[in-house]
Amino acid sequence: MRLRPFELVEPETLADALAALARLDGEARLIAGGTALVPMLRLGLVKPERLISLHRLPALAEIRTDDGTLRLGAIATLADIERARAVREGWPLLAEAVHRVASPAIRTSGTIGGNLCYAEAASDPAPALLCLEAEVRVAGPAGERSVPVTGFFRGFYETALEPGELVTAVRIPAVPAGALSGYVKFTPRSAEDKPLVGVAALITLDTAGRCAEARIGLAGAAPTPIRAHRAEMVLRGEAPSDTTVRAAAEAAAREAEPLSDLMGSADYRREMIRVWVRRLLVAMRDGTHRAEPNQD
Amino acid sequence: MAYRVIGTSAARADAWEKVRGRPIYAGDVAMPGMLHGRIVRSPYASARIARIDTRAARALPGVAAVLTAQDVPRNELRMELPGRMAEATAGAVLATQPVLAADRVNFQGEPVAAIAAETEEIAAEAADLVEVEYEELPGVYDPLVALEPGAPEVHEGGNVLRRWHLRAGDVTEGFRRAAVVVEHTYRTPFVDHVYLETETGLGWIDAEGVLTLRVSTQVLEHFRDVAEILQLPHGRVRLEGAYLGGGFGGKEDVTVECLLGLLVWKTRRPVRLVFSREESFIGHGKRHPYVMRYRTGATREGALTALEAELISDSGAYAALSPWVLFYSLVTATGPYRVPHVKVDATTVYTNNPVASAYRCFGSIQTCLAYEGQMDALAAALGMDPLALREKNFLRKGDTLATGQVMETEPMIAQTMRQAWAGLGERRAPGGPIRVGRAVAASFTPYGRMCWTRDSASAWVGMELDGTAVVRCAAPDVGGGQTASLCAITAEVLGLDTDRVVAVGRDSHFTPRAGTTTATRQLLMSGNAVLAAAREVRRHLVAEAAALLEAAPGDIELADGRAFVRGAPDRAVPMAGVVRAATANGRPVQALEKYDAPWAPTIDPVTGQGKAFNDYTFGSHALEVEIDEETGRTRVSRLVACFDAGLVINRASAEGQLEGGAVQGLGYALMEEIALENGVSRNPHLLDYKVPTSLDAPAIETILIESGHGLGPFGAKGLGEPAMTPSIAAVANAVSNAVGARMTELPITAERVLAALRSTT
Repeated sequence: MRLRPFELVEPETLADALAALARLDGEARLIAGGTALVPMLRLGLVKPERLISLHRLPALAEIRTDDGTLRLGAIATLADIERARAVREGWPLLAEAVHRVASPAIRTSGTIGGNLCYAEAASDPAPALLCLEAEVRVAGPAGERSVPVTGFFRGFYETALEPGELVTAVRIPAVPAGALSGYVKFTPRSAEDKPLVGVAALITLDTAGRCAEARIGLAGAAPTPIRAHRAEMVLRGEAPSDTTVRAAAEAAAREAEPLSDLMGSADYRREMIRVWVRRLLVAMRDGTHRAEPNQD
Repeated sequence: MAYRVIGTSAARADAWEKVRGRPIYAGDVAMPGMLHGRIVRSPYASARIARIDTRAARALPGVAAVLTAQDVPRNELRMELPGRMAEATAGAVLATQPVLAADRVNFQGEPVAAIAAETEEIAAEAADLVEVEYEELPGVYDPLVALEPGAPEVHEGGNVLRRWHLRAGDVTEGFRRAAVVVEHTYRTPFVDHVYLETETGLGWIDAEGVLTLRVSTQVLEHFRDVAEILQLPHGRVRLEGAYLGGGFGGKEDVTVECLLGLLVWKTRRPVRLVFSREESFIGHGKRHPYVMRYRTGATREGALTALEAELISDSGAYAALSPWVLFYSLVTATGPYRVPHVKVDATTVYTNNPVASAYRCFGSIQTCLAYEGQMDALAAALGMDPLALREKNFLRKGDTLATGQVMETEPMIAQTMRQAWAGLGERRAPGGPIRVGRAVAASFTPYGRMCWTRDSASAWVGMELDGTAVVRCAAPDVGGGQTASLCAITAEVLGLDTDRVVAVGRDSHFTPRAGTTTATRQLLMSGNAVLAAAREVRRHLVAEAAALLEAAPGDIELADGRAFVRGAPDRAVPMAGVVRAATANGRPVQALEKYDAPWAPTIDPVTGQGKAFNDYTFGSHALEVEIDEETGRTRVSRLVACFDAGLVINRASAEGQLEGGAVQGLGYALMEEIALENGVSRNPHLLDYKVPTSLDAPAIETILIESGHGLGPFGAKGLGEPAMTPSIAAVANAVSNAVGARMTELPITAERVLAALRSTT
């Protein structure tokens, strides 16, 4: 189906973009890669009268590091992020998770800001960003503000953005020294699919081999991407023994509030969280986790 | 006999065009002044149309036409093979479907209005402006419920569309002789063809006033349907075939043809109509869901004694080809086995679900899931090797099918099974949470239509003065290489290279009628017609060359683009010289030939006895699966497909059929299902209707046996549909082998496998 007619606005400054978004004459949507928005337009799920393209704002596409902090412009593409040397070396968990999004064609077009704003529960990057304690930079009529990514996802396809606001960047602090991390994506249907569940984890071990830091991010485990706080609490201060890891996986499965859909039932999702949290933590502990180009 | 062209992987002319993105598909072309079509479809599966108001849509600037039921001269599309089904339809309802729904809709997606406008955007806007007031009616969405007394009737006269019966021997006696009886109920879902190219066409009125439609269709004979609904002489409607971006049976029924013809005829302007993916999902015939209750008995030694089956298929809201799909299920219900005592009752039932119709294998694949599931279940119950049990019961030359048909040549089924199994190699050792399972499925599938339909195909072959050949044959090319194979046959017979043979398109009026590219019939039918025409041309060329070279016709050979005397290759004349001489001497250098498939009377409607099909293709899949026992996810790690092709015409095309059939089957087995809620699809898009990608395809080995037993050119059989038949059974059997429980319902999702694993531990 062809798209319905819409007005296309192509601002050349952030101020113009905000002004276009603030106009009160009908629904407007921001568009960057369009990989989520265009299917929604085609399916008639959204019918905006105005699309505001961000592609003339090159500053928003920048990927750079400042004093050990990674700054991803909102319209940096997933392909650019996974390929960026700074990301691969300093934030390998992000590179790994971003690499698992859909297919090369989608990653070439899709952007990190778009992925966040789509706020899909089954997002590959989101669990990694949750583990990395990323901060979302937001600009709006009242100026700029920061939202921790843990507070950015408010509900089913719902974000903390207020009317008139847009995401400008994602800031990610340096990864703790010596951290182990990994991402697993489970797609039980076709290999090229959204994750039924996605699990990201980041742990640091103290000199006694106990978990000093433990962070677990989950996709497909609730109406939004979530941190598995109870599972993290099980790990913290404990050596990641088989028993502890099992207990953490069990806690993650219990705290998850997954939905049922055509990919799988809530019960199955919960079960898969139990399996994949355990498998990921064991593999990270044993040094056998490998960032795979595809699932199998 | 040694062939020069036949059996090679000669490159197809269309392959280059496809990879270069040249406009060879029906929707690729635009015309000056062209309008864009758009269909308004019912969002409800069962509703009365209280009112349709098209005024606002018609008033929209740029809208050329908004048509409803009252604008269709004869608003009744008849479901029959043109002119060929009346005989066998006796006793069945004459199935019809409106082009545009008039007062009620019976399925989600049923067309209600057709729009033509200056742009696609205006057409879409006009579609939104058509006001249709529906009053929802009770519907029926399960064929078993539809059979119950008091169920809402989809059409007047009850929900049973057609029953077929097969009786051989005495099934009670057969079960009395059985030492072991296994019983299972198998279930399959609605699935979609998901061809890359959705339904599409471009239509115009030519200088002679002929309504011309360039359409993506497997059936150029649909020109008759368009003529009938417009009440035009059949000669006033012409269908031009483009290369198809996939058909698989989904473009066998009328898709865009009547709607497009109506819009062109009413607006008198060119119109292009392209179904969106969502429309394709809800707007064309699906594969039938089946419920199949099977009982199979065998002696202690493993000889089959009896098979009893009850097959129920969901026809959806209209008949389409459901009675015939069900008939294929009836004939194939026993599998490629000798079974002395058989009772099969098959029923296809109307519901308010999507219309079900043709899809590759046409009713032969669902039964394969059941009969091959039964064979593995029997082997387990008897403690026998599943391959040995099959070997003991396979049809051999001289045996009879349950329909009474005698196997006149050796079915190569045992060879296909053994070679497929051997191709799997060493069993992979299980490791960690991975369970390994492996299995075979043996199958047989008719190629060519039912004998009583008096199927025929015509073709013309002729020479040009430069010594090249032209083939004219209205056989649609669905991507299987049909056209290239006709050229290869011609090249072989006339001693030409394939690039010296040109096929000049497929057209209902300008090329001889060849019938449909369905039922795995084109190689058999058009192939034989082209072969006969090429041989006739060859006879003339040889006679002329004999005169030119002063040799006996029996000593003339045609090869490498010239004629020469056998044993004296220097006594030669180039083909162009032969053609020029023949033309100068008034000798014909062209021929029009018709091939008639062997005929047999209609089968007995009470017992199913008779010769249903002229021949069958036999083949097997062997495959190995790895199952993650904690997640239930199945990965097919290795697949071997072995078929008796009779003879291979184009090796790359034949191997492509086997690989494509296998992968399409993996999707059906493991992930595909149209999710319906009271007849309304929850996944009419590729976000949630998943098909296998290249990442899901296993290593596939293809093995082609060439028995020479086929009825096609040079002893070839058909492969198009048979290539898929054993796929779902092989997957189900291999998963069952790994899990230790019988998987009887598709798709075999990870979640279902996990549940099965849990139930066995």
